[in-house]
Amino acid sequence: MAFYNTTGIYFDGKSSLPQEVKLMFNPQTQLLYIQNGFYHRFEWKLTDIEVSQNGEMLSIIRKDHPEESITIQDAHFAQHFYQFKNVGWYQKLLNQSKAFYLGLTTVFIGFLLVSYFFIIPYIGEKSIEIIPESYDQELGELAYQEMISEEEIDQNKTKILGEFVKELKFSSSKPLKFTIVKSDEVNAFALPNGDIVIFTGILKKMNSYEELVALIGHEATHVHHRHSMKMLGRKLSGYIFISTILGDANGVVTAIGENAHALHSLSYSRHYEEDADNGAFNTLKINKVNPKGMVNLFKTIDNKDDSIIPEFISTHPITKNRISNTEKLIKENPYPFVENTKLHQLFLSLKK
Amino acid sequence: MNHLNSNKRYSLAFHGKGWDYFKVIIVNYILTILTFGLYYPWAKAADLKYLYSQTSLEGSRFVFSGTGKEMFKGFIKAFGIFILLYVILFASIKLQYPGVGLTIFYAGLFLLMPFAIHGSYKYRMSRSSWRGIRFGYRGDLKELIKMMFKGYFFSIFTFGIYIFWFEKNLMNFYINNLEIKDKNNQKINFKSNIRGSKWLFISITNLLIIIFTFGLGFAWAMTRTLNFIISNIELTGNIDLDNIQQTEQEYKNAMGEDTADALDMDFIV
Repeated sequence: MAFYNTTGIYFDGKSSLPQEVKLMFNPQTQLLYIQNGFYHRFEWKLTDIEVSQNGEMLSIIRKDHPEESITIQDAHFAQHFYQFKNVGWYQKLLNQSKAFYLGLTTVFIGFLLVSYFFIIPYIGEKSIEIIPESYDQELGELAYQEMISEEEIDQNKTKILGEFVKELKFSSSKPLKFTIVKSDEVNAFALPNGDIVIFTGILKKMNSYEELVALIGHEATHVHHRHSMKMLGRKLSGYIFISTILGDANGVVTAIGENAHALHSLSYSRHYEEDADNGAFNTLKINKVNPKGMVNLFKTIDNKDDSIIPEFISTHPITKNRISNTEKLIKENPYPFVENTKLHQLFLSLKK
Repeated sequence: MNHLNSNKRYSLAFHGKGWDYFKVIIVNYILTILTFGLYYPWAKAADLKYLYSQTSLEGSRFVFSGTGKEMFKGFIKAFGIFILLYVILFASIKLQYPGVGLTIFYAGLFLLMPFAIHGSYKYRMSRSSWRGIRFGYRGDLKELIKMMFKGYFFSIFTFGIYIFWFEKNLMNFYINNLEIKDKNNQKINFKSNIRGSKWLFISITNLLIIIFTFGLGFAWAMTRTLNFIISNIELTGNIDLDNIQQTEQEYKNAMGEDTADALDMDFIV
């Protein structure tokens, strides 16, 4: 087997003086012979040294005394040398082609996207199942106290609504408590602990008791399916993921990431609203109430603002879509319904 | 023989290329994410190793000999300190004295920064060498603290605009306090010519590059920045570049390096 010869620059680690040396590598003995000037000769074992690659340059340093080093600019020698002394997995990885890295980057970005849009939200939602429903209770009550302190309750109407609700059947994992608040707002909301608040504004606009049943069914579904908690789980898990991905990024990049996430979260919200709409339909069905009531409810709460706000930044699907979805449900699930005089009477009292 | 007289100056050169640096960064990023952050100290070491190996003086490259293992120990200590600060904060909230907790928390962070940065500079320099010769860092902690508090003050009052000058001051403090000492107590000093306005320009254009490439252009933004920095550093001294004799001692404590990172100070040099 041949010996490999070359020259290099040697630094003895004691001073910065570059010394030209002749090098000879013997593959059989695994020794590197170094000759410095006429008189100075020494040898290094392969096991005593570490090599690193820097473009075309090969650097050899002593493991026990890393100040001592030799730099070789001979690519030919280097190629032979690497066969006997590994540069390590990291350097090998860095030596891969641009194509390899383009591929790697694409795959990894794909992985991050799949994680953000599917895996992380799924984990976020599933992790809520670990949280006991008693936590929903605490959270809901806290929120209720907070919100109610700023509103005026209509005690009389609340009582009447209570009787209205008694006439209805719905599936619910926890007892529901209804409150009517005096406000012009055309709105209603449900909290994780079963508290459902309905504003007088929306009551005033309704024309039939069927609409009210649909609204109650919608809100009850939010509670029954733990939508608030699931929404929280999804939002939080996504936020943690975004923070991890962006890491040490500066303020601007972080702000962009957070806003993009907030926008994306809105789409989950629309999904939960659709789910609640389906639940409302079921409530109407179970109670043999005319499903047209649900369509009328949407027509009631619809206002001109809907056409200005594009769906993707809205928390609810646009009314037109909700109506068409409901009409589809009605067509595919026909059921017999009856007129309920008691509900009608109670509804009239609520309208006063 | 090469002579470095008081009126002769040698410049540094930076050879790093966007693509090569991109490879280092993407490997670091992927491994850090897959290990839920544990790989970070090793990623830092790989990053510094690359940047050092692409910087040269008189044809010889610089070497960074710090390791992920050393920095990991620092990482753990820094993590411990953060947990402690958070615990104090939460305890004070539970005990109904949130103001006290918040004050301690933020005061703790602001005070920790100069110490972390100082320690970080010392560690880094103890692991830096050129032709086998170790570097020295003679920065004064008190001076650094003064400079940083001045920086906090002005940054708040200018709604953040002063931040670029603050960063420039930190970099210049670091560079101007570097030296290579000879056994005979002769020195080679480093001097920075980086101006705040230039730094502002580079930072903003980098931000645009990063945003418009969705982060992928980071490597190119960094190599561009390093070219700028390196071309603005001068070496002055009165000893022979080929005849410097070794002196500095070891400095093992890597904590400074990792606390600084956790507090989001990006040390470019």
